[in-house]
Amino acid sequence: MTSSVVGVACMSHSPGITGFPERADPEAAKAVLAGVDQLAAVVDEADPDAFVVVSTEHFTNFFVSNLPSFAVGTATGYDLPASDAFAAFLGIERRRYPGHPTLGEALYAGLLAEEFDPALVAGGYGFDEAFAVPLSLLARGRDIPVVPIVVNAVHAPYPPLARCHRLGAAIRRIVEAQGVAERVMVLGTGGLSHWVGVAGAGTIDTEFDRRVLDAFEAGRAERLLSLSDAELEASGNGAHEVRAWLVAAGAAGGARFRTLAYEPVPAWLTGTAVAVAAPEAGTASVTASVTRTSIEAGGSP
Amino acid sequence: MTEPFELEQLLWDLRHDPRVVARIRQDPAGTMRGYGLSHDEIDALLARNFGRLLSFGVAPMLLYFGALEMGVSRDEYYAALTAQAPADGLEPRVPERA
Repeated sequence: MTSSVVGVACMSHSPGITGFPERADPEAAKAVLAGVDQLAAVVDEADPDAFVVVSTEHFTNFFVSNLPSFAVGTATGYDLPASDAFAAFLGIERRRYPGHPTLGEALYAGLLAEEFDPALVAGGYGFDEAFAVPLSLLARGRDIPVVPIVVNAVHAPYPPLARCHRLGAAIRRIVEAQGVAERVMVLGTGGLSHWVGVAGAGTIDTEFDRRVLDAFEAGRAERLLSLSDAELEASGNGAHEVRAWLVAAGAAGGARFRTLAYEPVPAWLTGTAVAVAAPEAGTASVTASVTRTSIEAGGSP
Repeated sequence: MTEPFELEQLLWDLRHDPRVVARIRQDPAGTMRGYGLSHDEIDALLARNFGRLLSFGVAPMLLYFGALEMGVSRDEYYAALTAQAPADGLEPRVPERA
């Protein structure tokens, strides 16, 4: 079986997208949801049999008594969302979302071999907005089995940006080498600029957001790898979630992204974006435009 | 900065154990002492001085979610933060509002 990454995308996971869309400027909300619709069409066209979703989590499952830099899920399923309280907050009916345990095991073993040493999540994990918002928006009547990969973006010290980018390149190599899921789509979720739990909440750093999107649109996400944690923090403590985007960029191997939506939405506290590394929807999969050489070229700073 | 682990443990438990929520609403100071919080931490938490609590190094998301479990609304939390003078060096660079 030939396995490949059939698409790579990134999107914000603000709870407001599903939980309180009415608080946003109607035109902004409409534009974001239109971008999500476009991404759903790309997913439909790519027809993946598994998602690898990369994001942080917000002290929903992990605590400072045991906080991994990276974690890989191998569970058969996940609570989406994690609790009834989350269901009410996110406006998402609680259910069980299928995992892809064999792909998860391949990624866990593969990342160990690549010296990333992720934590193992074999069960007992519930999704907060980081995974629940994107997956619920993209489900569209079909739950594509998921391997969640968690990246610490909530507690310093954080995994370095270059390491996150290399993690994405490793994910791609592992996906291409395994034989349990033929068509895999990688999705990074989080960001862009936002402040959570600190002064400044509701402010959007459009300059930072544009810098991120410009780099992705140019297929040059590695431009961002020199950002220091202090520079990220200056665009909000939530800006650390750009790590998930950089993992996705590593998996995309230098492919250019198209921004399907970008709106600064103070009511959702985020610079809210949807982007996809793929040719025009309906024309080809991202694999057609990405070579192994470009992966390696983009994989190390 | 040393991790204010006991404070963060309380905030984590507030989010994950309804019994702790019930206890802190019934006996706030006693529950905080039971977790081993310092006098400064207890004073700040009782006063809902979130800016001061952040200055102790508590993870902002733990503080925010814990505050919600203590019955503080999102709007009240951020209004309190805005009203409280931040500790030196904690104020983020805030760009122009979009």
